[in-house]
Amino acid sequence: MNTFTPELSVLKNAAPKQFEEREQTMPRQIVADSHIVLFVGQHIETPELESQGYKCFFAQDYDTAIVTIEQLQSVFRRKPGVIIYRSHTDNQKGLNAWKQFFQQDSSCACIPFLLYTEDVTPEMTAAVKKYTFIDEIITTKCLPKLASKVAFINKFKQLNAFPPLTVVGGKRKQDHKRTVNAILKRGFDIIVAGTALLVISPILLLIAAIIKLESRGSVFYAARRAGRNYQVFKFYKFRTMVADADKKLQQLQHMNQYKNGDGPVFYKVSNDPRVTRFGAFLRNTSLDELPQLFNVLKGDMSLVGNRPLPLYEASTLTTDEWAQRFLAPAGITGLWQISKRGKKEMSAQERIALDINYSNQHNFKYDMWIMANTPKALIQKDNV
Amino acid sequence: MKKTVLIIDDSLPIRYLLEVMLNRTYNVVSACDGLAAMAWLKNGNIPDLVITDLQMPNINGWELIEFMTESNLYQHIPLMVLSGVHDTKESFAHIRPGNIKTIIKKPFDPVILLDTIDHVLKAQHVPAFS
Repeated sequence: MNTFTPELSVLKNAAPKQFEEREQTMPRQIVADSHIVLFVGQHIETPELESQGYKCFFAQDYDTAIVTIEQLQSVFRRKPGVIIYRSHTDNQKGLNAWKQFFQQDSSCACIPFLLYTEDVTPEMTAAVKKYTFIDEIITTKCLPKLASKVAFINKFKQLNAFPPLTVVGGKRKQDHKRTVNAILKRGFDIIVAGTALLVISPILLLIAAIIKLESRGSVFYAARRAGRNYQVFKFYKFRTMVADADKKLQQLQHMNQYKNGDGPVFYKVSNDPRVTRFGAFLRNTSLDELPQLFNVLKGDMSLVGNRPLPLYEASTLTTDEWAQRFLAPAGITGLWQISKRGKKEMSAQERIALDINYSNQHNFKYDMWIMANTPKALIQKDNV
Repeated sequence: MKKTVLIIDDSLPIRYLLEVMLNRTYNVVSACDGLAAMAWLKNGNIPDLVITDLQMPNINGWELIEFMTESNLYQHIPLMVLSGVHDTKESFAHIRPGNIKTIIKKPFDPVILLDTIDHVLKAQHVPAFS
């Protein structure tokens, strides 16, 4: 090796030849040997460990244990793979000493430290909480499975020494920009939805009257839908179908436009026989959607956002790849309403992709752009 | 006092969704993998319920479940698996079922999940950790 290490060469020159030879056969670095078990405290009979190939060392108390560790390091260049501390009536003094030791010698802090006991008492679990260097409480029962336990603890300790970017969080911080966007969005929603409802109230009344006259049943149709963060709310529409239409859905499965493919379920039927004549008109003109302005005013949803989905559809989208769509606000109009409107065959995957796209980059300006493009899409559409 | 639910999932949207939905009723802590969860547990935290994914980086769900069910410190904590892994039953072949209360597959119905969490937490008498 060409590395320049003056101190080491001085030492080597000073040391007798024999020592130099022995040093070369030993590993240079001190390594933790998972087959070395150091018992501290009263002697425990461990034939099952010896037979598993473990080398057991025994130390009466803390001081002897430290000497043993030092000897293991200087002679064998090994660290014990696990320290098993026998719990006794006065743990405090011993554990305090260990705490100090681990604070001083950080290289030993990665050695799994187990508390050995006959039965687990609340005092002991409290001790583990206090002395965080204790990795686990074990009983005689645990000894046969010691290897896998120690391996897990070792893996954790090694990874945790240089933790990758991990996230543990309770409440998420709202960033400033998002808050401003949320306020703008809500303000816009209230003003626009409120004004619109006032202006079109005569039309709403007229539609309500015609629905009442044409067929038996209520004016509005309220379905439970999943909005932002999967919040379930009642979604209002003008009723465009005969009463009890939901119950007849099963009979229409064969007409489902999206029935092919294993993907998420969407129901969409062309020329559904349950639709009333005036209902068909409302649907073609999208007038049946007007009561959603009440939902917007209530705050269930927004003017712009991802379409709030019926629960049977929504519950098929809670996968790692697609759940992102639920993090965005729900809305009346959105990306998929203004994209490719007029084509019947937009696939479910394409819709979800647009939803996720919106979820990733929505802001007030983007919302305004979607709003501006909505009327054009409405004019282009035909019987979708 | 609000009960603490630990959510372990490497998918940020799933974690976020569960956080928001559970926050009203429970004290929610979420971890992006088994390593982050272990680090949190090692600080002396004991949750009332753990909901974990299986396929995760660093320390995965199987390893974590095996350790927790064998551990004298954590074996009393009820576990729920929320995973997109198929044939989940077989993937537990080598693990003692222990405290795994239920296995829910993704995609899941969040409404049912909330009910299940409520049910598990009420049915289970969790010994106090003093």
